[in-house]
Amino acid sequence: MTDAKALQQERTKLFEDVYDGKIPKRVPINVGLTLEFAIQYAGKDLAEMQWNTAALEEVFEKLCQDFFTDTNPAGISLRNPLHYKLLGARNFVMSSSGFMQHPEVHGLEADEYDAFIASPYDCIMEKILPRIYTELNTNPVQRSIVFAKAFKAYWDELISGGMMTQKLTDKYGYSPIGGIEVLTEAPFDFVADQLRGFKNITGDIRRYPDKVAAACEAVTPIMIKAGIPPHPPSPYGNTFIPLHMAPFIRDKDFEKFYWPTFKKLVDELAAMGYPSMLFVEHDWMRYIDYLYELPENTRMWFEYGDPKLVKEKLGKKHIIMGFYPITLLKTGTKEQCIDKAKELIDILAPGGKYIFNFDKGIITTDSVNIENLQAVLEYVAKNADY
Amino acid sequence: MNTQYYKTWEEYMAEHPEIDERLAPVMAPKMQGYEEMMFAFVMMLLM
Amino acid sequence: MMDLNVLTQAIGDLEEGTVLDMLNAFVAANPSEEEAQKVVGACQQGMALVGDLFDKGEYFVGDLIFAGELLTNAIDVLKPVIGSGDAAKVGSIVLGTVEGDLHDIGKNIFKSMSEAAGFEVYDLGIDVSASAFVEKVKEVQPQVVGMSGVLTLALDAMKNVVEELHKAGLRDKVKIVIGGNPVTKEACEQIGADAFTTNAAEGVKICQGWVS
Repeated sequence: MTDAKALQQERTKLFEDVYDGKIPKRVPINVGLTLEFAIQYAGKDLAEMQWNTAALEEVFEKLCQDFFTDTNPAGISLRNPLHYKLLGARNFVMSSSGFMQHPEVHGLEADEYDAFIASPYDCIMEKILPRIYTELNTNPVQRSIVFAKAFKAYWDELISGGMMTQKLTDKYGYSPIGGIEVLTEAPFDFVADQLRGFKNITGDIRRYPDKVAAACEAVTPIMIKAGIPPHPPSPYGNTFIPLHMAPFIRDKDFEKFYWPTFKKLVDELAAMGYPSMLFVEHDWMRYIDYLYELPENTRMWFEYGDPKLVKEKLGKKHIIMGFYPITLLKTGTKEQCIDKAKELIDILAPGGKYIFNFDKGIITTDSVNIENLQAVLEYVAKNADY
Repeated sequence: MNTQYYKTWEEYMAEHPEIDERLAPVMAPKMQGYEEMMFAFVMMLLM
Repeated sequence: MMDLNVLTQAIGDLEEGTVLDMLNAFVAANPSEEEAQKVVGACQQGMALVGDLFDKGEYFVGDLIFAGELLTNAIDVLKPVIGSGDAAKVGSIVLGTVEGDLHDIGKNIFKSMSEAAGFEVYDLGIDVSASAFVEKVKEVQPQVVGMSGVLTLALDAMKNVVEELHKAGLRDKVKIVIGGNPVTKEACEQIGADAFTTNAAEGVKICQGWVS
């Protein structure tokens, strides 16, 4: 067996153990570095490389060589400019700096809630997509041409990117499990984000509360379907659900609009054998008791909040990730950065069910001190044995 | 899913009695595979 | 004349129906400009209540967004009776989301809240270059420059704006406040801004402190 293969097995076992509720040999590290970070780190042009994706292998390889993690640090971007450009996207556009950004858009009007509730998917296809994607707002023939190009572009890029990362995963002996497989959203976030927009939804929950709740209900089955990975059930899979709106609304709005359908989503995926990985964006401490109610072994990647409280309340049931503030990697000394890692490991590692990760993705090279980042990863790799 | 734009294989078969029973098992993963790819693509566009 | 305290409270409670009913009835009664200004004042006080509730953790960002919209709608109803002799502005702010960043929710909350507090706000929009900030500052000579951003890279763009203001000899003529998810005390010092906040209501208070 090659060294890479042996390393891969060892790393895979770390994640299997955590997901099986066993104490792993060491705290596994799942740090994904964004495509933008990777391109900058390799000293390449951000905008150009996001188009020239075939040339990314070299960029990714540099990450694999210079940063220690147990899963492949190189992530292909879901925000490939190609299909967005083909579609004339308003929701994801490249800014002057080369970053793909997400301006506030909405594809559903307030007086269309009833149509959406009657059939969310019909409404998406007929009304919402042509508003958000301007090149679809045309005659049926042209529209079908645009859609065919974008569909093919999306899958071609996703599949070739997947093959590229797979190759590196095998070459460098990364764990094939522990990363993200498919994406879905909490129903309220889905309705809030691009359907009604962040601004409109805050008015809708006051003006048409029953319709908002009904829309979340109606869309739940398709959010569940979107969250099913293309493989048989496995305790080692990860359906990624980035949570968004909950910290920005009142508790009573959360109880009415957010929680019921979100819980149903995670429950039903778990019942089918598909565990979820939540990105618990911002600060969820006022909802911590709700999080406890989710199915056992739900992976929760925290941004802010109190790690001690989370370990105490959730640590026996769920798998905890995150909390390490990337701002410290920029502002702190190497010693402070390592102390922080030690502090978090001391709190979160006992008893297992912990995977090391930062509080958010690192999207630029100058948002961190690279040496600090490397020092922290190395520290965890060498000092987090059980 | 209550939509005219996505069909399960069973729904598709019900509308296509002409399909040879012998071929259905080999057709299903291919044709339904594209149905699923389209669904996944559409949903990604709004996430 | 309506009960201004009731109006203030209704704004504070974000009771849109009540607020708009009261204002529509008020406008229908053909009030004087002076009366209308008092009503505007009551609306502004209502927004201060919203800010307080946010500070106390009873309201969240979503509520602030709605409050901003409610206030805009309220002022729209009042426009016909406010008159053209608009009340003296307490100060002016040149505002924008910095270059490379397209997020504007936080900026817009700050904008509506500072307008409610009587500031003239020149909103340059999103992805605003340093030179656009400098040009606008030259043109309108504001007391305050407000820069917003959500991405960590926004911090570098903010620093760049401060440097360009320096070069143009304008830095000492304005106060600079930065806002948004990535701003911290350290970032503020590094950027050379005068103040930072992640809370729009607090940002307005900071600006009020500067112009009073």
